[in-house]
Amino acid sequence: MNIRLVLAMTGLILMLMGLSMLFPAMLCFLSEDSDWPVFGILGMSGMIAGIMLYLREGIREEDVRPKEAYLMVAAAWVTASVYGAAPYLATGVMDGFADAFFESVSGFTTTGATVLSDIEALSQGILLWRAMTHWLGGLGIISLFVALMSFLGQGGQQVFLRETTGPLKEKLAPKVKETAWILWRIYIIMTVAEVLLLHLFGMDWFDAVCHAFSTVATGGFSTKNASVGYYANPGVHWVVIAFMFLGGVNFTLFFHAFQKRSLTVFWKNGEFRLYTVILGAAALIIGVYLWAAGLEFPAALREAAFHAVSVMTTTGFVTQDFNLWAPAVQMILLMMMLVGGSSGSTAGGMKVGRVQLLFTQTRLEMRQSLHTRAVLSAKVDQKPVSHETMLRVLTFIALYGLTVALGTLIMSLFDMDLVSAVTAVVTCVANAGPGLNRVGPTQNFSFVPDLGKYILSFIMLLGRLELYTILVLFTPDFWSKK
Amino acid sequence: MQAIVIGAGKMGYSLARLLAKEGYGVTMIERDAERGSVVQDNLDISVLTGNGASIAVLQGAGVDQTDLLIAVTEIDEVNMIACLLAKQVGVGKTVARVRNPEYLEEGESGRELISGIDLIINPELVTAREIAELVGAPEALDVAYYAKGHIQLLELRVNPGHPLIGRDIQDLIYEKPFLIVAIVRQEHVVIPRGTDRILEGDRIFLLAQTEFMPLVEEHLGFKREKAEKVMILGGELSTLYLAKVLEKQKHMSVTIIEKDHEDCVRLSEELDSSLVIMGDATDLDLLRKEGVAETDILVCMTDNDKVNMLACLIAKSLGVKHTISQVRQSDYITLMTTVGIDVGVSPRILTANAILKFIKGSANLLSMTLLSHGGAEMLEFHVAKKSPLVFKKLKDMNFPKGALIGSIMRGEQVLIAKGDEVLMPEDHITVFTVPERIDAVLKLFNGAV
Repeated sequence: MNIRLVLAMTGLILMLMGLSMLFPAMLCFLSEDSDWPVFGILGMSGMIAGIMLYLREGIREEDVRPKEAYLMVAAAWVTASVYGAAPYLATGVMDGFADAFFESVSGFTTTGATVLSDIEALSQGILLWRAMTHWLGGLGIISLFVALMSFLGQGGQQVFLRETTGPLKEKLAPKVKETAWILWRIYIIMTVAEVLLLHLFGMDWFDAVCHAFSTVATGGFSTKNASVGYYANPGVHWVVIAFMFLGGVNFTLFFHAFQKRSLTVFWKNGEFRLYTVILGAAALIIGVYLWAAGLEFPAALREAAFHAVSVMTTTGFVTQDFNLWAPAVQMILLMMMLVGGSSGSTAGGMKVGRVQLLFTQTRLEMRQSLHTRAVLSAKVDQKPVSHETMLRVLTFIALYGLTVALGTLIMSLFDMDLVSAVTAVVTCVANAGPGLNRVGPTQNFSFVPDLGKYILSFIMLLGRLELYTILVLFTPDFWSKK
Repeated sequence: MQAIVIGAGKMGYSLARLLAKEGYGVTMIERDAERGSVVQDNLDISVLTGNGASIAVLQGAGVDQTDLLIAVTEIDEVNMIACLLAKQVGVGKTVARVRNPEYLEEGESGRELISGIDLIINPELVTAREIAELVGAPEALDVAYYAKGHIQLLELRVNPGHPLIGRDIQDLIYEKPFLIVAIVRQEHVVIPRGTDRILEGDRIFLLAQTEFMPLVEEHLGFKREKAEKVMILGGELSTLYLAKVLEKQKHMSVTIIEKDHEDCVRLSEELDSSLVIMGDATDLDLLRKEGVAETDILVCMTDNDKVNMLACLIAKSLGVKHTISQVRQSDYITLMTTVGIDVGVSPRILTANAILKFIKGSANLLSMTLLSHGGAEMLEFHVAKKSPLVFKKLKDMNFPKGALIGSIMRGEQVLIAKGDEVLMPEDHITVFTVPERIDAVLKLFNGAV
């Protein structure tokens, strides 16, 4: 094992995070907030430490083996989470490291679960930092390096593929650097567009930037206690709905649509169709429910669309307390949370693509039982899917279920009722944010004991890196000398 | 006129014979000296041993004085290269047989790269298309389309007990126009007159507008059947093409039985809704289990003629309504139909047909179809402005005996030819003819280009 590579990667992450902390420092300085030296010192020291570590170890263009790639990705995320927790402690917003670490992981994994109850009391620097952790983690922390620097060479591809989501990965350009850069450009364009639109509908610049970061990364941190519900303007809601939806779409589709100058690219993609159909059906059901519960028609539709999209893309913004809704509707939300957004998007969950493959395989099994000697092959968008891929996807889905089950068992030991325990784990593994009952939309995770917070943080990382990348580190094979 | 044929396989052999009969001086290039000498003994052509893709060999065959080059070796690349080379030295027409579908896929900018080949012929694809047409009208022995698909020609068998038996052609009248262009009686093609009578066992060629054809058929006592369940035995390339065409039709369910696992996987990966079963085509239990009895049409497309024949017979005994079989050895076709297989389709005849059509093509000849296994031909012409036939009534024309005009397409209007009709310039007409009269007919229309 080449530990040098892992240390160099840690140095790089420290550099990036340190640089990022200078933005809140500047904001605080300009608004004469007393937090500015905290961010300034933390940022500078992180950058210096990072540069020193990186220069000492150095990354040349060299072979990165799968083992090293896994460890590099894991190290990057853990480093970012630990270092990203520092501002919460240093500004005195939180007392314990468990709280700060939970908040930081929740940010980078774009979960959006929080331990804070009064968000509006926080300084602008902290609010911006929270939103920035979302934005940096949305497409993947390492992917930005891959996009900007070519020093990683073939190794860049190794780490990049382990950080992007979904069962079938596609390279948009021959070089992974270009592929990552294309994705980041799409991401940046979307963010800028949302900032402008939100400002147009009456948000001030600061809130617009924070909410845009949070939306396109499908994170969920808001600058308001009532989340997006704070804003009365329906226009704001619709803009957020639209960009949450876009954040849950496979980013490669935007690229293809742009290249071919055609929107049919989207509808020809089976995953996109299923994603849209599930969202449409859920929004309709919830809409009827809210309308029957007494909401006016346009508002009912808007609220329904907002929560369907927010939950399925695992953003976690709310405008209503769905803790008070009927159990059946809550169950629909929970199922959508587990399914999650599309492969290659910023959303979490199992990914629609995997569920689509599960359906495909189920249909094949049915057909096979009717025609015992038939030779069948699974296809996605008319392209055959290999047995190996199918097996990996089905294992993933089973493992996902197992993670939820075991996580719930552990969480129920911490003085939580079953619904709270289940939804806390589901919302963390799917990187969504709010759950039900004690972890519902108007509640927070502060009551969970420290050990519970560490476990939930671990589950968030598991979910963000799609299980295998983390779990493989816990296998004896990984550490054996072979 | 000089022609070069590369590859002395079955296809090359029959083409060389055909071309020699048409008056070409044929030079054949063949790798294998022994095979070459067999051909030399049987045909009045000259044979050269060598690689057809070599410019030296081609020049030795006199490529610079050649009008036509046909490359039909087993190797696609050789065929393609030979054509490209020939085109460079100025051969007028080049034909290549290309089997690998990868070469036939059109890139985004079309087929410019192989523009040196005038006609690419893929026997599997041609066979698949022919069978797909037959599946569209299962009661017919042969189906062909003219006038951009507006005119349909069907070959139908008059079975014992059929209401048409014993009736005169002139007595058959129906509000929708139709024409019986020929009758095949004991392997002889008869161009019928009004007083001819239809007999049991005849095969008639029926011409009508495509949209009215089902009505015409019904009026004459033939039942138009709709095939919804098709079973294909054998999973070669032509099966893949056929299944792809059939899958596009609504309500069509296709089952394919193939015994090679790899072929099965390829089929199931390339096809969408078709069901691919691994098993033997002659396994009675398997056929029964997969519902062969409810199958409307069984298509046998294995490589082996005997297996095809056997499978068809088994299927017939299990209650399949129609059977179509691919026949490699074209001599077997007549034999097959006598033992009860409905239609035999020979890739070799179809390919030869397509090449012949291409060779004879001129500005005025639009298409050409061999019917009744070569016993008759259907030609489609464009009537030139200066043609001596313009403005004449059909019945007043001095048309060659053994040939007749079937249909006339004038702009978007389609007419079934009757004696009082007058030919106009720019008409598109179909002419039915026996092979002996084909040259006379061609001369008539090509004379005044």
